[in-house]
Amino acid sequence: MARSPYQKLERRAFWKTGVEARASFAASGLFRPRFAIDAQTRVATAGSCFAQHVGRALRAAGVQVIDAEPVPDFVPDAIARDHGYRLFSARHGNIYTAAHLAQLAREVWDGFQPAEGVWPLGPRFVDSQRPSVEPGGHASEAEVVWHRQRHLGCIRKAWEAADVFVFTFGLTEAFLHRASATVYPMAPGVLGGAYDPDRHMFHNYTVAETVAAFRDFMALARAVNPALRFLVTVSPVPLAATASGDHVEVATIRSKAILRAACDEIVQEDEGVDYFPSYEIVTSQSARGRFFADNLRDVTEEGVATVMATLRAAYGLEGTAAVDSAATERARAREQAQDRAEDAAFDLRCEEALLNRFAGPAEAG
Amino acid sequence: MRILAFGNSHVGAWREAWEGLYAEFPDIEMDFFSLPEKIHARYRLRATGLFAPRRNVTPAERERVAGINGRVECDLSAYDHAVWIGVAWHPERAAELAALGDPYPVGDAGAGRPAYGAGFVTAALAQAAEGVAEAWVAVPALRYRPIVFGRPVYAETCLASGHRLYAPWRGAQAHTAALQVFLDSYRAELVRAAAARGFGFLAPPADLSAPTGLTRPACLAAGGGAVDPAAPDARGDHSHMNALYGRRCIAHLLAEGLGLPL
Repeated sequence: MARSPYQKLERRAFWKTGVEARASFAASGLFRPRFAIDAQTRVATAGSCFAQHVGRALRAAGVQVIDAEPVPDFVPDAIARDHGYRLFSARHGNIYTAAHLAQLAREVWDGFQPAEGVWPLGPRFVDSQRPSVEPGGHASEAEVVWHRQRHLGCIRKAWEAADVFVFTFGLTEAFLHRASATVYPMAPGVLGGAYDPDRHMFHNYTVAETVAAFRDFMALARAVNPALRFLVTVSPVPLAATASGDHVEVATIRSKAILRAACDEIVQEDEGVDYFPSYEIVTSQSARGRFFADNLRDVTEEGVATVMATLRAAYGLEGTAAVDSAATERARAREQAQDRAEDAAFDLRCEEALLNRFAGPAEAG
Repeated sequence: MRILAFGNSHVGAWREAWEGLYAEFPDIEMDFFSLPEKIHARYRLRATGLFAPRRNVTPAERERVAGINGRVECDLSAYDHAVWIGVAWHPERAAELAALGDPYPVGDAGAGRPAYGAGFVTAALAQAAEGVAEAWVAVPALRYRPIVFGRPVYAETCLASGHRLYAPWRGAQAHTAALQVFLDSYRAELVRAAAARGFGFLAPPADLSAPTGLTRPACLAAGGGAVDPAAPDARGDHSHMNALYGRRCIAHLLAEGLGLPL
């Protein structure tokens, strides 16, 4: 046989052996970490709803996941999460876009002040940069501002103490303050404030903008924490709604493709950044769609368990052997799916899903 | 007016105080019924108003109860008012919050210490209060609302002990302004939870508290609170109070619980 560049490649380089005949995701070499994460690693997490799983899985595996805004143990998970606690390393709520992350870093370290920082919510007030964390709102604008200052101090503490920053990219779509380009995590009018097309604008980030924003964030973070490394992922959860004018399915593919391409560009040029393929696992053809729930959007507990088992196995955490068979992996996931306590554990706080209330009744589109 | 003061060993401070008080209240007759906590935990307040032992209270324990009280059960319906003394209400919940964060507008900004919004604090403490109050089963047979009187907050002397029981209080000591706010919120939630079950709730009066949020050492019963230098982590007894404490509690009950002019 003539020499070929494919001759001495590993089995994982070929679809037939890497996917079609794969025994399990965890054992398939899908993810080979660039750097170690172990019980001594201090990890900060942020990102979209799916990122909440990552923090929980790492904590369960004994990794030191930072919680800079903890609540006492007596507080039930439902109450804590309803108020933005126990979700990420600080109580910033979901951060869907790299632009919002970079803006938050500028606010933490660079004195940036968001426009319309306080939104009215009926007779009360919410923080426009994290409108979901105080569902009933605060009594006054001053109270919101006071809480935000305290919160920024906690973020600073979390991010400056971390060895690894885990970020899950969620969306490319965002609403901005037209005059200042302040990014909001949710459109005005969903969880406070009111949409005004003269003051607010829709923006759909490109690959270049996403890469630039994340690099801005990394630069600010490394200025105070030079050893900080980054583990990035793309959320496999489709958009709940799009304001782009496209069909939501087309918009989803655009968004995920951009985020995936942006991750690749970031990882290729920075040894301190790694990419974990949670998007690929959940959407893999070998999963045959079973990692999505009946609404075709939510990731099933089996899907989450598979992603997290792969993550833990790759880092050698919790003694997870990379030789798990697919059957064992699925059986474990099924057991978890049957466990009602786990139901609560997977109960994410995902305000993006609130956009569904603008959708009207379900009917053929 | 006949008042029944019943409960666990904390009834002792009330009984001792009443010895020196009853002459001042000729219209009030106060009866006492107290149980060691281990037995108290196995008594049940029935819908009829009878406070009686469950089946798992042994004959020897019943005999012990009879030795203390001259009877093994008491009937709340035979009184005009009843106060259930020494009931656990876990003020440590407030201390646990204060150890970790501040309510608005307590504390310095930017220090990296978390702040808790009023909505979160109310939800967390309301849930905690519900957990405490679920043991208070309504007594429809009574023509009055029995009052639950919370067990004493530990005396300040507990801070000298390294026992884990006092850890929440030790943790809150650098944040006593936050602690006071959370204690006030928690008391209010307990009042609400108790009212929903047909009870009144009174926490020990605030003027018995030191700035630490703990009970003033002068209220501690003789012999309590001593810390053995050879055993710094010993639990000790920082819980049982004296007649001074009981006297103030009785006044608090009459004024705040029963609305009597003193």
